[in-house]
Amino acid sequence: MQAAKSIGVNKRPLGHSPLRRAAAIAMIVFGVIFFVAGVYGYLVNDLRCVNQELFTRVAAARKAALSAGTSVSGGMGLLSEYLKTACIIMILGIALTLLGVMMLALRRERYIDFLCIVPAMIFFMMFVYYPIIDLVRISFTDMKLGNDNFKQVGFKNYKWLFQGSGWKYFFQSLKITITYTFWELVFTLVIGMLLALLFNHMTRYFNVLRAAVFMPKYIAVSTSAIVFLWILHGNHGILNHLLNMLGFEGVDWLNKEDTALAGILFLTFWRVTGYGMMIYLSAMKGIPQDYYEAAAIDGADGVQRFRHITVPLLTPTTVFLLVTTFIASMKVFQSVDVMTGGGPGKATNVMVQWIYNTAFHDFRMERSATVSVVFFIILLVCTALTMKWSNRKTNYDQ
Amino acid sequence: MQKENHLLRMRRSGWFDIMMLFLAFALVLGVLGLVGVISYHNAMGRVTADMTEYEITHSLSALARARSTYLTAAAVCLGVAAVGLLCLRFISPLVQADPRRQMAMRRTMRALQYIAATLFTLVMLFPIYWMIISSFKTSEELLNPVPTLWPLKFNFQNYPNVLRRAPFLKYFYNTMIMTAFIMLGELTLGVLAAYGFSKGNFPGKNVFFLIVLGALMVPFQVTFIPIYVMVSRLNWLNSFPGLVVPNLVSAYFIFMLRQAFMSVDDSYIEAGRIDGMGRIGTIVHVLCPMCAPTLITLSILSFIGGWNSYFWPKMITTTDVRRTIAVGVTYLRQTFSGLETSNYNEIMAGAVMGIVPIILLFLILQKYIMTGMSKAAMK
Repeated sequence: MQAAKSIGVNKRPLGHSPLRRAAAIAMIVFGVIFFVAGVYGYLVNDLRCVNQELFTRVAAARKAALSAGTSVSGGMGLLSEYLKTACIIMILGIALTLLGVMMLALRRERYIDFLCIVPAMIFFMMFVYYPIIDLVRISFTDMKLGNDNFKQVGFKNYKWLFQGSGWKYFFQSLKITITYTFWELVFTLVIGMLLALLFNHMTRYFNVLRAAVFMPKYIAVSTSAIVFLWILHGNHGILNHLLNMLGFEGVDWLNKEDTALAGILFLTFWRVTGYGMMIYLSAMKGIPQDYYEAAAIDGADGVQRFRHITVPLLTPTTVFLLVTTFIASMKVFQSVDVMTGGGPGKATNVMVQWIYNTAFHDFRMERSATVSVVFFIILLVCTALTMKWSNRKTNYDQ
Repeated sequence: MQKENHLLRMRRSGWFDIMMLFLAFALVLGVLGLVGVISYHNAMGRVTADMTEYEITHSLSALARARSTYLTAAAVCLGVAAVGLLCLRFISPLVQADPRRQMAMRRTMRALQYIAATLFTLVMLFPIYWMIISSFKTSEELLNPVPTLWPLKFNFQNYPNVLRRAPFLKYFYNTMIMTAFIMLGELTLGVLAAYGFSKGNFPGKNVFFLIVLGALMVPFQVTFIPIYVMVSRLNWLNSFPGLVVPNLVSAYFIFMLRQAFMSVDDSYIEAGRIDGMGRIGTIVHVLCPMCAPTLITLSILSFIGGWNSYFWPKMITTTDVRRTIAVGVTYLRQTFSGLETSNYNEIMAGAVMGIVPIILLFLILQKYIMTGMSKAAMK
């Protein structure tokens, strides 16, 4: 009996006693009040409906901080205090309400289990799902970076994107992103597969080689981009020197519109081929050797065994790589940002780079948010389609 | 009759299809290159004397500008196909006729495999080698018309120079603190949530798990604007909370840890409870040790991810106070104000300092990283 109690077979609900029930109801009531008050406070401060006097004071404080060069502690000081308080009250409200509901409805065991996931859930709400809503909200305003006085403007930004000058850039950007994605897929899937064949020899020596080829994946993209800037340098880069030695003309890789993307793809190649190789190799280890022996007895040579045994049996791996690489490479930013910053012209202006530049170089938060919304929808549709397709594909194989 | 026989034999081989593929590539590329050449000549016919070089370049279509690339690629494909077909026609019957020759062939292939793999690895390692070597060169040697593969004179001054130029120790400190807190948050909150999802028993568990799965689908690169606005309003720019808090929970970690915890049988946990452990006790003393490989892999991934993170730290650090190493290295270039070409030795020294810790970590913990990778692929 004692043991049963301690492992929690105790079925008595927590809210059984009148006192606890009253406490739970009080918690829910206060929680809801806190939550509403927090949201109200946040929105009021957020929409700058606070009195104009405060706003000018904040602006003055920020100006003073900027001129003094102490952007760390200066700036939004006053307003942010209100917002912080509002956020804390909001979170407190949510927590109280949840606690109350749990105390009323659940048994003790379940209620503590539920508490385990609460921090993560609050985080996801704050930093994943709320931003999506806020993103859409910002896309309907005229918010600029550093200017907190903004108002609703309806569909103006969407008109800019789809009918105005934005469409050209959007289309161009999407094209570049898809070109980049295509090549990254080729590097990961095709070259990765070929490398897996080349490195498929289980000795110590090859272990070392494999580790060396795989390593670039874990080196910071930004730092390796700096290294590649030096390798691809127009006048003193080692690559151009090699080309000269072979009799070709040197190319100023990153400063020509035609070759800038190719320059970035060098870095991509260096980073991703080893990854594709490792994934394929670990999947190849799972293919039973009997298949190959049977095929060899039937007279199939190496190429035919590869084509009719290895490739079909690796389809699930290929699909996994395809889906993950596709989604990841659509979001390419680091290498482009360090190596070209989207230039020359707009020749390497991939989607995320464009969004970033619009927000932090042109200070057009609203346009940036609009592009983000559209890009997000594109990504979601792509993800859903590939997931659906990959599910069908893998089920078909098994 | 003899020739017919050979053709049939060649077609039975798998290599024949590959050579045909190369031929097809050569055909397509050759047609593209020819179209490029024709359009290039058309465009050149329209060129007038007063056009600048820029205008001429921009009057050409993409195909016309890349015509030589296409033609070279076509020639290479054609060459490969020709050599392959000739080998199939003349060499492979010779080899197949004699088992000794087959053995020799296999040994040659093995040797070729060793050579090719070694060469490829050397090529892949070259950027790292070049970075380290360049960081020891003097500025004069750096601008040598003929690059030297080994420094004529080792110049160790670059490292102290870089340390004087940018607060690298500060960058290291910032990166360490940020990474440590991100790791701590991701692991503790991840383990807690994973426990709730795998062993917990409360209504709506699947709905809540959908929230986690949904969070996997929302890319940070898209939602960063509202998060930036939020963080800047909380006055968290250039501060550790701003760097850490938006990365505190990872949906991927929860997902992976849940998978691992599900594989642990419930009876272990019940045994722990009977022995008087609390919930935290069972997590720390039963679940975590049993899922140690996953936890180790995830912590390594978390550490490397934190160390290498660039997008978010770049956005919210406007001064050197809280800049991390991955961002600081890229800002090193700007401190030379246009004279960076002759100072790449110092930039490379900065890059070495940023990269070497990760390389060491990779070499030491390689085993865990690799098993983690294959596990992720198998899921």
